[in-house]
Amino acid sequence: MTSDVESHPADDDLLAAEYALGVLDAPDRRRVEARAAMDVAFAHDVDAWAERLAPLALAVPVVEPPSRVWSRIEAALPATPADASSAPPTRAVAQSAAPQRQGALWSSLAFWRWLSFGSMGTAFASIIAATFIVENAVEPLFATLVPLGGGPSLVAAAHTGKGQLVISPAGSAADHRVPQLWLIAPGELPRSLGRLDSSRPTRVAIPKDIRRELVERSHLAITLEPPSGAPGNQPSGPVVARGQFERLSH
Amino acid sequence: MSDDAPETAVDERPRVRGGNRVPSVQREHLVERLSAVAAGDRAALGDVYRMTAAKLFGVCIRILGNRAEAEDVLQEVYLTVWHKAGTFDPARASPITWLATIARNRAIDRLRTSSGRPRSEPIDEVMHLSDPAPDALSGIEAADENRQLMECLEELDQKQAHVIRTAFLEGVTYEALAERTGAPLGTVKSWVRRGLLKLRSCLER
Repeated sequence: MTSDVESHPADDDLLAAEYALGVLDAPDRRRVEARAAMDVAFAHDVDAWAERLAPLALAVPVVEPPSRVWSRIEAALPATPADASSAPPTRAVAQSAAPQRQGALWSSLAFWRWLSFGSMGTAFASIIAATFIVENAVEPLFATLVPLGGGPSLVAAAHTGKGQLVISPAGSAADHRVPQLWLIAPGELPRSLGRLDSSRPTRVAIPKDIRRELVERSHLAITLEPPSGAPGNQPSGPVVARGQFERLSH
Repeated sequence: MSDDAPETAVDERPRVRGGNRVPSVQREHLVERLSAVAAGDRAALGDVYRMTAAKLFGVCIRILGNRAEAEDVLQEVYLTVWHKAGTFDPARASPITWLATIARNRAIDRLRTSSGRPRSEPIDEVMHLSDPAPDALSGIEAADENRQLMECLEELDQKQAHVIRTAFLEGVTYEALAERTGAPLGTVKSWVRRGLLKLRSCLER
């Protein structure tokens, strides 16, 4: 089956159809998914086939699942934070928060969901996957940023000198918004690492006082922000990609 | 390689047919509930579950042929929905297609990891073990979309339509289709691929 994936590059749409139909074996499914994560046009082909074939799935007879399934789902959901209601954090809270020690809020799933929520119906496909390699004094770190939305473009990975990283976003937002890179160290508010150029690789200098924060538990995120800049220098737009630092050598 | 990606690449492609469907009340409600799930609303996930679980359980059972495995996969499906609801874009997919696609992909992946394990029960028995549930989704998809696909399947050669239906509903590989039909692998691939291409052109008419 591998040969099929690789020997018909011209017929991407057919490959997308085969994936959506479900005839590919596991390795080929993983290849198709990896491709879709990096290629927005191909991802749209896959989505289009899912939509074309969907009436077949919807024609399958319904079967009521036993109640234990929902009980298990509920039990597996993350616990509601004790210090907050289940309502998503508001922007006012975010902006008035002390710059430090708001980790529970900023690292919480609800926070990320809240950011993502604003992106419904917008072009997610702007930023895809980025790999950062950061060389710091201790040991190299890297982060792969995973797109949160449907169609990906792709992003290159690069490494420059100490305390710097290079990100190459592919494509750009469908509207006027500008991608901005954030670093979120545990227990701290997001800190902007600067805005990214949609058309060319952007070299990002990491301030020295942040560099020590580049530990394995730090997150990176890219949001789409107004051209005038993120209000209050805090993320306001949808998260289009995020990832976590890891050590390069194990 | 990324630098010269055209900035308009995202929006140049035609919208999926489903993206422009006439909204139905149920569909809009489901979209709204998914938005609430994306915002971290657990009760909204419960609403989505109540509206869709029987349909998605049916899809999983059809593919897995095993209720216990289908229950596991159904649980995974809604946890995936919890985590990924923020990525659902109602402009690009209908909510039920988005959900059904998650269910199918999860079930197919489970099927692949357990390949070689026989179905525990004949599919007809598995499907009919429970009383028919009210189909909360019947109004979500426009009936004429369903009819159009069925009509286009009717236009295919019988063998093409058969392998496409079987592959879709049971999530089986080309190899398994070849075994079942007794036809050579290359022949089965040809049936499927030609059928898919004809289907596409029929649906685009």
